[in-house]
Amino acid sequence: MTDMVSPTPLRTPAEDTLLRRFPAEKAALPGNDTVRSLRDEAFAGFAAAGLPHRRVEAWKYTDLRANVRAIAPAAPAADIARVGALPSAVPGDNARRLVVANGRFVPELSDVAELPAGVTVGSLADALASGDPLVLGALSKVPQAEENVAVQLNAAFMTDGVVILVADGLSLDRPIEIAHIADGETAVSTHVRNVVIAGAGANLTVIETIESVFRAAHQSNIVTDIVVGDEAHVDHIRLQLEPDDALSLTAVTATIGAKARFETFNAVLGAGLARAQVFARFAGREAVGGFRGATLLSGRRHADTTLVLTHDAEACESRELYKAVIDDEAKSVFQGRINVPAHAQKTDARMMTASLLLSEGAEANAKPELEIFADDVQCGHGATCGALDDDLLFYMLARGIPKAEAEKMLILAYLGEAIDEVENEAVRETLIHRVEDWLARRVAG
Amino acid sequence: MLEIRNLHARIGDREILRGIDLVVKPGEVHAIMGPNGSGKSTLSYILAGKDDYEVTEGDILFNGESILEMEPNERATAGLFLAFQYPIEIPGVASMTFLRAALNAKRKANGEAEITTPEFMRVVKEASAKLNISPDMLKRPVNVGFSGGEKKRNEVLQMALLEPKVAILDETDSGLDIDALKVVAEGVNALRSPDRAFVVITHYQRLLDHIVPDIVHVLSAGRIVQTGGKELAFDLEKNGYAAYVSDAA
Amino acid sequence: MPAVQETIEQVSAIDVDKYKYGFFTEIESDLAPKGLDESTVRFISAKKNEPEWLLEWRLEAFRRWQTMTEPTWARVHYPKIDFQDLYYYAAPKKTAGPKSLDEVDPELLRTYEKLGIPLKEQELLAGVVSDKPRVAVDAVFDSVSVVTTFKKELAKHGVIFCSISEAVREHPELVKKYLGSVVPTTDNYYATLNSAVFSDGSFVYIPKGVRCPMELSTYFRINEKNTGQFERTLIIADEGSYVSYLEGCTAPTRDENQLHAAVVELVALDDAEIKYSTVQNWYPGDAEGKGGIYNFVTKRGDCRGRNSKISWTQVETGSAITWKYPSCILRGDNSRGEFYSIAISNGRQQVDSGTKMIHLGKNTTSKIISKAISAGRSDSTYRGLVSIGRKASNARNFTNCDSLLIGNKCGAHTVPYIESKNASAVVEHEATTSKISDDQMFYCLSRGLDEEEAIALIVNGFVRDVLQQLPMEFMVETQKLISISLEGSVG
Repeated sequence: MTDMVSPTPLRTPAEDTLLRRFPAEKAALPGNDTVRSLRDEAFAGFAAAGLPHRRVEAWKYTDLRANVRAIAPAAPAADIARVGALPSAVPGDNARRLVVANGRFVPELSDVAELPAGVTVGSLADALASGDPLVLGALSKVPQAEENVAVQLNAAFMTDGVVILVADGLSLDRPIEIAHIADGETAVSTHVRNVVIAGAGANLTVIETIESVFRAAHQSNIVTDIVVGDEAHVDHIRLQLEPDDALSLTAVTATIGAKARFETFNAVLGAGLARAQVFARFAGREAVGGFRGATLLSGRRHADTTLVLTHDAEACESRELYKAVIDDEAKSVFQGRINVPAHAQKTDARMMTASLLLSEGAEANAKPELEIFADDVQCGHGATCGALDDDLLFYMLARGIPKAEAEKMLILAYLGEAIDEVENEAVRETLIHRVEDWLARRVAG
Repeated sequence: MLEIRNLHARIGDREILRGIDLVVKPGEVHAIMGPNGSGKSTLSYILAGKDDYEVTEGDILFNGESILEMEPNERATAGLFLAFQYPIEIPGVASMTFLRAALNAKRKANGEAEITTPEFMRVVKEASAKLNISPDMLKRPVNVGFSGGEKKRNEVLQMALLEPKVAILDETDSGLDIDALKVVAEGVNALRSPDRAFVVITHYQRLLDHIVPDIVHVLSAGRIVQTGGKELAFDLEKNGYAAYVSDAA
Repeated sequence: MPAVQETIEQVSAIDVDKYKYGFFTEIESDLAPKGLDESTVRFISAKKNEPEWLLEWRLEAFRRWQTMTEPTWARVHYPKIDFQDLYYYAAPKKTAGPKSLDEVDPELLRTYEKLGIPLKEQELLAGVVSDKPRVAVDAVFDSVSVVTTFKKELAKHGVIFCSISEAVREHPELVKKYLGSVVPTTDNYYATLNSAVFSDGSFVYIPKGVRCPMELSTYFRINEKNTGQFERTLIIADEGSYVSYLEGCTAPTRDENQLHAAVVELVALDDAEIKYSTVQNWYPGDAEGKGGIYNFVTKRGDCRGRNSKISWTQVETGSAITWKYPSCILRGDNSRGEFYSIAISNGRQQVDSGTKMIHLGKNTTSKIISKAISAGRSDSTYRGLVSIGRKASNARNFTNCDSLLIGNKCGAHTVPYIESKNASAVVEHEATTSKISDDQMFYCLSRGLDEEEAIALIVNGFVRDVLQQLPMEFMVETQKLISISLEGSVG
């Protein structure tokens, strides 16, 4: 709502680096001719717009141009021994763990033996090299994903990732965990792309973790494209555990078939600057979607959750719930947009976002949007922002519970509303422990 | 045990308490009665340590020491208990977690070890049975979805578990039908003992039929304007507060 | 439910051409030469015998405007405006300046009579319509104020109510002090343009401690072809004062689009309260989107003093395009801002409206209630900002935006921005979009109401929270207007 007087900005050093790197590196990046033109096209999108800044509406609160000073060098191959020594971030999830280190799928550290019949796990680089039409067809074919500069940069520079195909009707009893690990004593940058295609009636849980071996200012750009077949059920959880000064750009795109169910939960627990995006489209009628997340912020960290959800079919139901806890001088952003075109009658969509400010310097920004062209719908959103409720605190103090403990209980309860919706128990427990750790560190100061 | 000396307090620019004096000895039950707006709830909140109010003059002594500088939780673990007129709902916090945290806070303040799970289950089960509190109710978050009567019984349950030295009951009868009132009153009476005192704040006399006070005070416009035996309550029931209200004005 | 389907068809077939204020008054006008350059600005200033400082102020704005580009962030679409193809000044010839009522051209008086605006204060004073509350009116016809009623009576209370041109001459110290102090000349494209070429508008000053004895109102009428209307309103409520002000707007039916780019500035000092209501019924264009007013308006109130209060109430039924965000800057501690809005769009109307509540002072509170009803092929967007500054301890905001869609060819959009930099502040926002529920319809029908009555009832219920904020004497009028705007369904 500000008047635009936008002089053409000069290029920043980060933009210069990217503009220099792409022509130099693209020959070595995997992919056939189709992939190469796809990369060129995506990069052209970035080259024309530059890094998004505050005058670009979708990036109003997260100015990459101002905040990304330099681009870290492309990550070299990781040290397999060091990466292999890292335990799963979700203990007890009984998952089949796939490791993507420094932007490359590492089969030797991945649990790919004895896959059930109908499940294929492979490397994205291979799929790009062969130009696998199934995989190429799944790359961010969701409204507003392809035009997104962060996704474009990923498409231009993507090195590898995993491809998971699950046959029709197959139900996996073990979750699949994709562990994204950055390895480098100094900052490296990675561009990872994963593709998950669940056939009709298939059922699986995908857990992604983003971590690092050393606490360096890594820069990661991770996009996961998920295709949920008709009547399939995909549960997706992402735990972002990057070092505190990392730059994290992530995106999930989802195409959801008729009568399918898709749930995604994103926990932002790390990175100095994080932008977690979700682009989802209900492609078939009567599908159900749950989009949730929790963000914990302290210090001067900045985290942005941006959701674009398009109800592109009749009678789909979606629930969105994002919660943030913001301490110190941290800043949180939530942007959520629900699009309902005229043909998506009987849409039922409810979006809720809440921010809890724990300190005087904390800041919360929210922009929950509805864009509705169908009349027979029930859509709504709510947003709240504030500190812990004084009356609740007083009641607990009046029962003798010390302030720090009362606050901890209230914060856990506040986040619990979102976390409790995660079906996988191991993930839920991990999340609660992480929150408790965070709170303990907060009290310890 | 509890001594209030010339207590003056205000919220914002508005003076609500204008010099209250009160001495409560162990084993005594005091009733504070008064019309709406006389400062009854303010007094209870100030005793419990709510920081919306500013004490401008006077002091509150508990076992001979001033508690004005104490945090609400310090007062609670020292043995002061407020049964809220409107018990607060805390979504997401399980009742059992809450009770246990409160109990452990007190034990910690007394230098005792945390309560064990079996012991905790046992005391809660015992106390809740007396108050007609179903195990189902305690599975819900604190006060969430509780009826008016359930909330008040939950307050008495907490009182029973925390075993305070002085309990302040703020309009505990409000919103209760006669049966619920009896259950609550029985719960309170069961806790009466020679070393525990009660301050019962109420607008109506009917609660005092069930929790019989030793001393009755009338609060009006921020001052105690009359003190007497339990017959004073009957008098008020018959004649109303009109005499005191005009007195104060 | 077939009954509802029928209604939808009726609504979509709504004849927006039934606009009842679409007549044109034959009156000779004094026009500035078409187009816009420095000489246009000088022409306007000279016409009004303005002092040098104001001409300079205008010219500075004009120079600034030339460096600016039209904003594109709103969700409205229209062909590029040719700013050289407009007249920037049009005045009825026979009125060289503000006059007493008997001197006003009878043709003008007839126009206002036809519009239902009471300009005859004698009648009211004589008690002919004694049951009606008195309302003082400033009538603005194209670029000039033609008459202001009840001036003398208001003067007895020290209230100044006159055209802004007159205020520049008679109260230069007040104008100089406050003009542009809420909406600076550099604020935005249309406000800057307005600063350069504003023609007339109303000026109100309520002195310390005075409760304005009657409703004040301004009635804007665009009559001349191809003219832009750029009025400027400035209301100052001095310490402890109160004023309720209402503006109404209409224009003739024309095939061309016409531009209305007004600026309204409100200043409330310590303990003062301003209640500003708008019933906007500019010509909306025909059912195919031909013609209609482009209503690009900047309205802002500054709660400058402690405990001050500014309340905006708007009923937006007209204009082809509406682009307005009546806002409050809550600067004074304990100040309060309110925004109540009903926006009804039909035909091809496009509405992008909302508010900004900027909390700067401590204990500031704001409330936003927005009700949007879209029908036909129209689009309605609520766009709002709630900003809590670092120092706005204990600020509170509550926002509720509800949209109702009638038919499947229209759109309803909600774009709130919530920015909080203070932990002790509490911001609550809720929004819903739905249609008239089948259950509600069925319930009404089963009680014997016909379908149109039922919709009227339900829509009126939907907007009730906002209607109640209007001054009593305009509530009934507005209810009628709402019905007319949804003609075909509500009748």
